[in-house]
Amino acid sequence: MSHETDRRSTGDVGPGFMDAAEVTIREGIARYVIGFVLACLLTAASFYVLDSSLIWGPGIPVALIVLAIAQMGVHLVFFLHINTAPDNTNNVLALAFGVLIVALVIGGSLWIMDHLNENMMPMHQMMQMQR
Amino acid sequence: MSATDTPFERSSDPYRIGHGRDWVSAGGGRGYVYATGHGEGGPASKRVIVGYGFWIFLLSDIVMFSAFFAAHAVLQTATAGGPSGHELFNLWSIVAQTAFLLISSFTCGLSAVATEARNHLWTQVALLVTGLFGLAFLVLEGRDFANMVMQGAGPDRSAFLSSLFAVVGLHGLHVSAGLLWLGTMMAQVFVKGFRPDILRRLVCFNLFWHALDIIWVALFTVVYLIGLGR
Amino acid sequence: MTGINFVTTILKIRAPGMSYLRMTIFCWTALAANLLIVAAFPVLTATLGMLALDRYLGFHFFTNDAGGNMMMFINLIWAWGHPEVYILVLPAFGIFSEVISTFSGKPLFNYRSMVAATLFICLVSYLVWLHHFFTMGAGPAVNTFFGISTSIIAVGTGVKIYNWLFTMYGGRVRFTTPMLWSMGFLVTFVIGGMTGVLLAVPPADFLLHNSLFLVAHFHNVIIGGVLFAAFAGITYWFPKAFGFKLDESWGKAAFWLSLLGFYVVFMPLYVAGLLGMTRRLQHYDVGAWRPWVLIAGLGIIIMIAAMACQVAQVVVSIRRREQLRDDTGDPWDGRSLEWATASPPPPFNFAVLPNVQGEEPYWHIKQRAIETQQMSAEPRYEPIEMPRNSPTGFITAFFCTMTGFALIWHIWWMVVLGVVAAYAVFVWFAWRDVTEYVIPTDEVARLDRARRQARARWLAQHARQPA
Repeated sequence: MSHETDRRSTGDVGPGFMDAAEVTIREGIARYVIGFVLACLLTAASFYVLDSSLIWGPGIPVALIVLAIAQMGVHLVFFLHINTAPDNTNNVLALAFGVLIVALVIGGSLWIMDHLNENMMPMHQMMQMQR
Repeated sequence: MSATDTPFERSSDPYRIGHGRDWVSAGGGRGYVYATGHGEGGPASKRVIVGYGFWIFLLSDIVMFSAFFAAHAVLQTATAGGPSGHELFNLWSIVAQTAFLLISSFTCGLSAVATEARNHLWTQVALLVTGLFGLAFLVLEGRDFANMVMQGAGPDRSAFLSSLFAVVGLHGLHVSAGLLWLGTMMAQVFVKGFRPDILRRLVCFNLFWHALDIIWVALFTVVYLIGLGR
Repeated sequence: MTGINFVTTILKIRAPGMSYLRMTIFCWTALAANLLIVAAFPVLTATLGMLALDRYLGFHFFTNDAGGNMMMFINLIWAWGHPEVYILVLPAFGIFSEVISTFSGKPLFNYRSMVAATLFICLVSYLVWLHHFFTMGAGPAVNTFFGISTSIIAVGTGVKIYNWLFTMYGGRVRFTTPMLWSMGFLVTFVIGGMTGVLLAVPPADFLLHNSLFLVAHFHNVIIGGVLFAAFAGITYWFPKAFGFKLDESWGKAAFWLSLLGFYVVFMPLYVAGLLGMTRRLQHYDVGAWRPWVLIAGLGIIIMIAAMACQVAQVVVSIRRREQLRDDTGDPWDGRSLEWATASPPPPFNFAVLPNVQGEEPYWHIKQRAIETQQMSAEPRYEPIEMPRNSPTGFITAFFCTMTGFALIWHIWWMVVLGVVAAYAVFVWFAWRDVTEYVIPTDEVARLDRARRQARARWLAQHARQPA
């Protein structure tokens, strides 16, 4: 089914659109169902990993983060229709830019704050100096 | 619909911007140019422009969340003698919230399929279900917060709790705003039908709602699951 | 909103044929600056939000007790603050690229390296923010990383400075007011940038942090960069916006007095900073600082005179506007597409979208017209759809202001009212059925033919050899 009120893309697709291929209703629903099932599985896996002895204790946070990234990917591909086709380049680049900034803000802040906390006097000691 | 129907195959979007065409007839007359990211085909269609602009907005919103995440990551051990995540988190509530939000994301996608098929009934039904699950999510989250406050573990107890309430609360605020928007969209679709600008807004809402679920994935993993492990 | 608007426009709504590497450098710097806006301002929102939560709802993000961490405020606010200064200066660089190439009569030297330098600055600006708080105890490892990255970012600007100099070299330079501002920028900004690199060295910064040396440095780059660019840009594009030029003599007077005034104010402050004077002093009692501070005070008088000249320039220009009028839309013999429109441009800018076939498309159109001594053929006009204006933006802003005011004074009912009203007005805007109006073909044709006639007159008067 095409969008009769908007012409086909000129090779440029907005995010969230299923323009790239003529999708039947059945195919459209199938995509969302597959995405939903995968997301459920990944979510269940996250909760399972937390308690079970499947993963070595200290590795649990890493496993959880991997599962989270996988699930975010499932959302992006199946729900938001982000793919690597040439008409989607702008969307992928924008996403990559966003991810970079997030990594810099979180990673940078953690690194800096960790070092600062190491070197700074603990708060209750500093408060006592004021008395 | 357009005041200037010509023999050219035109965009059938009557609400196109300006000249709204990919035809390059002034000067050289190069005709229809396919762009593959180099953008030589001239202005994009309104759908693409609106969708892309909203995508950029979502990315900026995610950067804002990342600042709150960073604060939480820094402060997660600053419990100041108060309760830590271990003592506070109700795992089943979180499972339910995750499930509700995921289902609402799924039904939101189904509403997009219904909109593609221009089916009024199913669009509204799917949107309504989305809203109901979203509301259920908020109710559970609100209950969790209320319980924590009553136990004396409100946001003013410690920095850890402040950052927890802030990052989870910010997400909840976005969900609330989304529900307000959803209600408005349902009203607009009901009153005005599937007009092109309403369609564009529905796509933006879809993007927003799915993005909220993506952020929730990060949230429940980092804040709750990793927090529980401490 | 601005960031989203500009990024989307530049990436998605360019004219046919305008590939990325045919955009003017001002477009590139606008893109880079707005990408930074999209990336950095959310961090400011978050940080100020956390501060508001601390103050209004008793949260403990940055408090002294209950585990708050005040250094995190510093960290997050500068994670915004550093990209912010590049948001300020990148458009300034773009303005100078336009002005310098126009008034040197040459295309910009090494366009691709300018683009690369712009994007480099955009990226690295997000890697340097700790240099605002070297002294706060992050330790040598962290300080070293950010010190090196700060020094590296200067390389991008250095590339741009050389490109501007080489653009001027071998060109026919016209010393108009915008060009004077640009040349003043070139000297002043280099000095400011160099002192910045001096401060980027953590051991040096330990002595100079929060001294007047720092104050002089950032005023140096902001005045030399952003302020001079603002004046250059205003003088350059004023005729495009209003149809008449600004008075040149007053403009030049304003420039020279500003330049002189700047140096007289801030160079002594560098010295005072090196002598140990800190910023934000209510009074001082170190005799060695006195002469420098007094000279700076004298410089302020020169700056005030410069500002008076700016005001005089505007007043005189408005009074003499018929003599300063520009009919053609191209008063400076410009090179980029904005000079192809009338001054002021009609609401639709271009009657027909230009088909861009190379860099500096307007220059080539102009040269072709001069060579062949005729205008290009009249295009086929069509009706143009324009967005309708709406007052809802202002009204929403009013209610948001009301909300802010009420928050300051803790008038809670007004806060609720403001938020609800702002949302209601927004829904009113969203409920519009007619979002555009159409400018009919005759009107488009009439406006454009007037422009073409003015150009034809100019062409006839300027029968000359191609440049």
